[in-house]
Amino acid sequence: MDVRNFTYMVYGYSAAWLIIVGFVFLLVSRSRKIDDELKRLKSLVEDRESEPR
Amino acid sequence: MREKLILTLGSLGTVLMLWVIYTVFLGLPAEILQGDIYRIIFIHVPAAITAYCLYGVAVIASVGFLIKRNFVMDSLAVSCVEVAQVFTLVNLVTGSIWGRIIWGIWWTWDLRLTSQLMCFLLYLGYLLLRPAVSDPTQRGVMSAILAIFAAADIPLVVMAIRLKNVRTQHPQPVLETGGLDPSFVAPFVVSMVALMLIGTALVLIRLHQESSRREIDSLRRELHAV
Amino acid sequence: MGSREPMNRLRFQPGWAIFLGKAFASFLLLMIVELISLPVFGVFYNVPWVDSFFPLLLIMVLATWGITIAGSAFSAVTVNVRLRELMLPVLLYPLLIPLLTAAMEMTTALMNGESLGGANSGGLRILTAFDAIFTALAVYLIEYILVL
Repeated sequence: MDVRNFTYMVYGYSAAWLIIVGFVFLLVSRSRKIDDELKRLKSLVEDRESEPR
Repeated sequence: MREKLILTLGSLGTVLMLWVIYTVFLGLPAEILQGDIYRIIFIHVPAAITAYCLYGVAVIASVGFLIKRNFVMDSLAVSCVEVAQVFTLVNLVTGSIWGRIIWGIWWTWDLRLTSQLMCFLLYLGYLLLRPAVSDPTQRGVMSAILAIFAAADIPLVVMAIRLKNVRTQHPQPVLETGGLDPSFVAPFVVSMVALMLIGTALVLIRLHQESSRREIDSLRRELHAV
Repeated sequence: MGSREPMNRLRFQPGWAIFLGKAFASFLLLMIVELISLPVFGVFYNVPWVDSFFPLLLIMVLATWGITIAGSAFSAVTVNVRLRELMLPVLLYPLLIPLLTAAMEMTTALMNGESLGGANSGGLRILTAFDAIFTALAVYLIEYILVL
């Protein structure tokens, strides 16, 4: 009984940690996508501005 | 500056959490009735409290957006709701695991678990509505109204579940006895502080993403206008 | 010329009046459906509804008004949204759960022969609270939705 309790408690803490870490990964991947998109758009705007009129 | 703030908050929260885990695992004795599983309370309850605080901030930000139409408030609302959803999920999963050991069942429709699940579902609708609206102003207004409706519903949910349990006399599994043993108080409070710090760091990261998204939108408009 | 009068009059009404009108129309429609299905269900499921008809009617009116006001508010919110046929139920049903739970509990009590006072008055309080809160919220916030 005690061992099973301990195992489940470890499951519980691991689950909590996994959920938070998973969210952090989600945020990081979203950040990367947003930064790439931002860089692309900024370079497009600069190209358009530096075009000879 | 902002990145330094996020890093400080995040690392401080993590360090505090590590201290809590160390104390909880090694410093405290096993409880007679419940065995080792009771230690999960040190994540289960602080996660719920952090989630409620974040939902509260989200509702206040939503009201602020309706009044002032400031998009920073809208970004704050959605960031807080997202992070609060994560902590609510942590609360539900740890609560379910705890219930499996104590009561032998993965789920029960008691007051606390059910109201947390309802919170999760209501604000999940909020997160589902946002991508479906294209215009930013409309999106902000609709989500703000939804956030206010959801927050108004939560007390009614609590009342309804209490009514249901009283009427059919379900055995109310009591999760907490009256007072908390003094040696428990320190890890509990520190765990709350740690999770709030981590939550704040995550909200700040998400806020920055929202402002980047707004910048992308304005750049796109500029490109299309040329 | 004369046929434009009703439209002009409608245009200059405040937003919340139109909204309440729509909610009330849906309410009447739902009540008619419920009053028709009540005897039908009573016959097919052998439910003793005749004895406690008036308390049952009270529950029906309160709960139906709650459903209509929340549903009308959410339909105003989701009118311009992608997948609006899917969004409306997804958003609405979690919100209605306390209302439906309270109504079901009280209907069960009535069918078991108990009265609506005493231990069961909590349900009436929930229904009234739900109606009051959400009517107030919907009427107040509808201006923000309709301005767009």
